[in-house]
Amino acid sequence: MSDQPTPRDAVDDVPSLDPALRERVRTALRDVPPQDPERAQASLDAALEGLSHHQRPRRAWLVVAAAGIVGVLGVAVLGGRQNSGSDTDLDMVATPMTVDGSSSASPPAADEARLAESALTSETILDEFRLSIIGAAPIEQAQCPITAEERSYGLRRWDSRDVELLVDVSAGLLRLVDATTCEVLIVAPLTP
Amino acid sequence: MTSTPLEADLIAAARRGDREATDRLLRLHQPMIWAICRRIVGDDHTAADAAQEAMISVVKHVGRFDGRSSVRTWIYRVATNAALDELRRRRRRPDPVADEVIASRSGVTSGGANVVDDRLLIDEALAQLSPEFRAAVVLRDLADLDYAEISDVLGLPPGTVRSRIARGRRALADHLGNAQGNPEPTVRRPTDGSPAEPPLP
Repeated sequence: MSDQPTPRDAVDDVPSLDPALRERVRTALRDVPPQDPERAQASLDAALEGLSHHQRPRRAWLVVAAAGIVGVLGVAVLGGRQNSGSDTDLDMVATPMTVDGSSSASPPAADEARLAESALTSETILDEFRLSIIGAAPIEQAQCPITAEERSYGLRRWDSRDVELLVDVSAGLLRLVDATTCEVLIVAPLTP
Repeated sequence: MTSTPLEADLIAAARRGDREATDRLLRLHQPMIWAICRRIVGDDHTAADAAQEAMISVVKHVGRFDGRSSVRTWIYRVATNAALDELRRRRRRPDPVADEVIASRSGVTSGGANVVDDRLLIDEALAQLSPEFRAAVVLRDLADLDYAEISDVLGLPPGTVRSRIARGRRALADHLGNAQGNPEPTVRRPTDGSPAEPPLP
């Protein structure tokens, strides 16, 4: 970034300031504190990770989704029962994922039905969860109520609403809550 | 501003799903994405989130780039929108981490050098502008876009862009001058009898 005025300035700039002050403002604006290199790399990785998700074959998801249509109501009940020991209201179960955000390579057959349900909710769930986990450091204080073991990964825009991502590594659970109402939208088990 | 041959090659390859090209394209523009977000939102924590959202958005929507603007202008637009969106989001639900960062920043003392003073003061000065004014000044004086490009990025008539930049700069200059006890007027006052502009939002 050059501190010198560009040639364009001569023809289209707004002549409202003393040139010395104008230059001082410009210099100060350009003197941006550098981004933390680790966070910059994490953001880059998160964006590129999204690229690989967008390009992955979707046929498998369609097959799983079709298979899940028949049993989806029963699956919803099953999912609720499986999570009934938690201190939160668990509405849905999404695809198992590792702590670093990658999905488990071969989910157990017993999870196939739950996988089907998650495929029905939205494929973007995977993208958004994964990106948020990889790209953001946890913050101690969450907006919505959390358990003692949970950490917030901050607010994200998802499915046209503001959501907060909460992760409990020890329990292997990830919760996505509505940032406005704190309603639990999604719960995803994390695989170690 | 036109795309450089390198940018044109990279975005063409990125649109075909070339991961390496996408990586290079993002790395090429990452410093400016960060700078735009940092200047518009005003703190590192929020800017990091905005910059990340911007890069994710670039990757997601690279297929929609139609070449009507330069690659750079398109990416800066994405960054500007990500920063403004992040600000709106934080306004609805204040972030304790970001607030702590902002609060701690006000207690920082400078080493006395002008440039260090200005680095601190410019954040304060920018914070006094509305985000829309901030974005216009940042796109002009930091990102070097011309008025037509800024008009396109912000979706505003060129006259409104010029006015916002002029008034934004004036406010920044006033803040920098006043903060150092400069009693001299910091702007050229109109000599043609034109009416004074209304106060900044």
